[in-house]
Formats: sequence, structure tokens, C-alpha cells
Amino acid sequence: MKKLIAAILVAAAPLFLAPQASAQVQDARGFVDITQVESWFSDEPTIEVNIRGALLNLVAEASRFEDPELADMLRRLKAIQVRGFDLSGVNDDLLRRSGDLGRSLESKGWETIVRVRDDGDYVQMYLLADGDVIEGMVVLAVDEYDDEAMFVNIVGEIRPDQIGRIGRKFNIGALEDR
Amino acid sequence: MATSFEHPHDAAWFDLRIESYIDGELPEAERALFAERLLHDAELRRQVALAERVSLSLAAVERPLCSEEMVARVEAISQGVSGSGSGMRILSQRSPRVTPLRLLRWPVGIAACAALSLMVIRGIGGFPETTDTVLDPASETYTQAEIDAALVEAKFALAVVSDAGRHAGTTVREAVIQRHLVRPVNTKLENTVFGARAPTN
Repeated sequence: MKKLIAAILVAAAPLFLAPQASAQVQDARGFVDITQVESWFSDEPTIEVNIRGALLNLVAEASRFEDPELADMLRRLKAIQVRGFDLSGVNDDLLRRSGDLGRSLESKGWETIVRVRDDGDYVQMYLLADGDVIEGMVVLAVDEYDDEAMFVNIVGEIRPDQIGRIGRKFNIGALEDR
Repeated sequence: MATSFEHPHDAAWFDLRIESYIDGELPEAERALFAERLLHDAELRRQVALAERVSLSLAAVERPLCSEEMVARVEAISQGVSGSGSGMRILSQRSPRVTPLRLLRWPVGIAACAALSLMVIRGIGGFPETTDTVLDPASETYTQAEIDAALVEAKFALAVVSDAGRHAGTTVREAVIQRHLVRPVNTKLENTVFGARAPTN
């Protein structure tokens, strides 16, 4: 009987802790309320990704055998958020709004590591670091040729070289087709 | 707890049979012993009452669905078959003191407790709502398909970041380093070298 009660407590404990863990994601320094960009567009996002908490752990575990390095990186993350929008019909305020968002991040301690505007491409990358540990990354990418805007926020312990190395293995086009 | 009731079986013997007693699965002789002990043992009565409440709570919980794959794996384990290529292997037999019924109760009980806990959490508004319309953390379970889809989405996000970084690096290399550093230096060198070697004829 005592074992049964113990089993109940053991089985239930992670579930009772889950809300607290989920709330902590939004309290994390690297977390950005990416939903604010949705008001910039009249249409719904074409790409919407929210992976956090238990699901992120499951995803990390699912990739453990296929790609241990990816699993290792995902285990140290707290959330992955993506919003993609079709640019057709978007007002001209997008770049100004992106600039405002960038300045807002900078005022909160984020560091601008890339800001490129080149022939229809507009890329901004921001990092939030605590010492040598990067706690958050934000990427704002606008591609006027493809009429596409992408906003990404990765929360958690980040190693940019690892993201670059792992990300290169994935072909965006192939993934979009799935 | 003090009691004057003497019995050849110790407290552990009764403790192990509480669930079977509640479920009416004890042999008649043991059931009679148990019922007699209940009359005199307040602690045992308390344990039985608690077990009955747990049993009723679990009975009221919606049974979690088990995937066909999981059923197949459990069946393979129960038959002592090592799954071909599945990575499963039976390392040892369980203690003969543990009855098959008890073996079955543990996973069922734990799964039911998990479902009960989820219902409680959802009832008190535990998981905060998100704007995610694709995968909601408030979902009590994730199917393998949902996890696979989330993995693809995670890869996509990493690919976007990697692609943006690569594009920015290329732009910086071509528009800044090449244009403002490499080419001017090359031009300067060419002018210097070839200017010095200018034909004299």
C-alpha cells in the first residue's frame, strides 16, 4: 500500500511541477514575446512554431539516436518560437517596426550581432548573454524577393557555433515541403 | 499502535493483501483472516479505507490510451521475446514473490495516476495558455506524430537561424571585407608592384 502511494506521488510529481516549469520559460531572460509581431500583419502567420517544456524534452529524446548533438543542444534549450509571414500586402512599416523591436531589445541588454540590409534582404540577429553563457537569440529576417518575413526566438543555453553547424545540416526548402 | 489481537501473520502479510481484499480477489481462507484482523486493527482499517478511496478515484479516471506499438512491445516482453532491432532485451526474470497481478497493477496504476494528476492540473488551470495553435502544452499527451512534427519544426527553426547567420556572414564578407578591405589592398598592391615594374621600353 505504501508503495502504491509512493508510486502515485512519483508519477504525479513531474505533472504538478510542469506548470511551474512552463511559467519559468516566459520568465527566462532570453524569452521574447514573439506574438507581438503578429499585430504587424493583417494575415495569420504562415509558419508558427512553439516548442517548449515537456514537448521540447520529448523532441530532444526523439532525436537522441538520430542526431545526438542535436539532442544535446535541444536538451539545453527552454523554448523555440518561430513566426513566418507572407509579405504580400504588408505595409511599409515592417522595417521600421523591426528596427523598433531591435532597439527595444537593445534597451533590455540584448546585443546586436548582425544587422544587414542588402538588396531586398534584411537580417537582424540579437543575442542576450550572461557572461560567457548565451541565454537567448532573436533573428528577424525579411526576404523581399520571396515575400517572406521570419521571426525566431530561441531561449536557453545557446552555442551559436553549434546552431550553425547543426542548422546547416537541415535544408529549409526540404523541411518546408514536409 | 497497541492491539491485543494476536495472529500468526505479521502486519506485512496483511499490507500486501489490502488491494486484493478490496478487489475481492483473496481466497476465502485469507479473506476471512483479513476480515477478522480488520475488526481489531485500526491501522489496517485506515489503510484499507485509504486504498478504497484511491481505487475509487482511479476507477473514475479516464483510461489513457496505449498505442498499438506499445501494446506490441509489452506483449513481446511478456512472451520473453527480445524485439528484433528494437533495442529491447529481457535481462532477468522478476522475483517469484511478485504475483503477475501485482506486476500488472503497477503500470496501470501509475498511468491512471498520471491521468488523474493531469485532470487535477487542468482543473485548477495549471498549464498556462499559449498562443500556439499547433501544439498546446496543455494537451495531456503527445502522439508520436506530434513529437515528430515538433522535431521537424525545431530543425526548421535552427535552419532559419543558421541560414540567416550564413547569409549575414556572406554579405559582410562580400560587401564589407571584399569591397572595403581586400579590393583596396589588392589595388594598392597592384599599383605598387606593377607600377614599379612598368615597362621601360
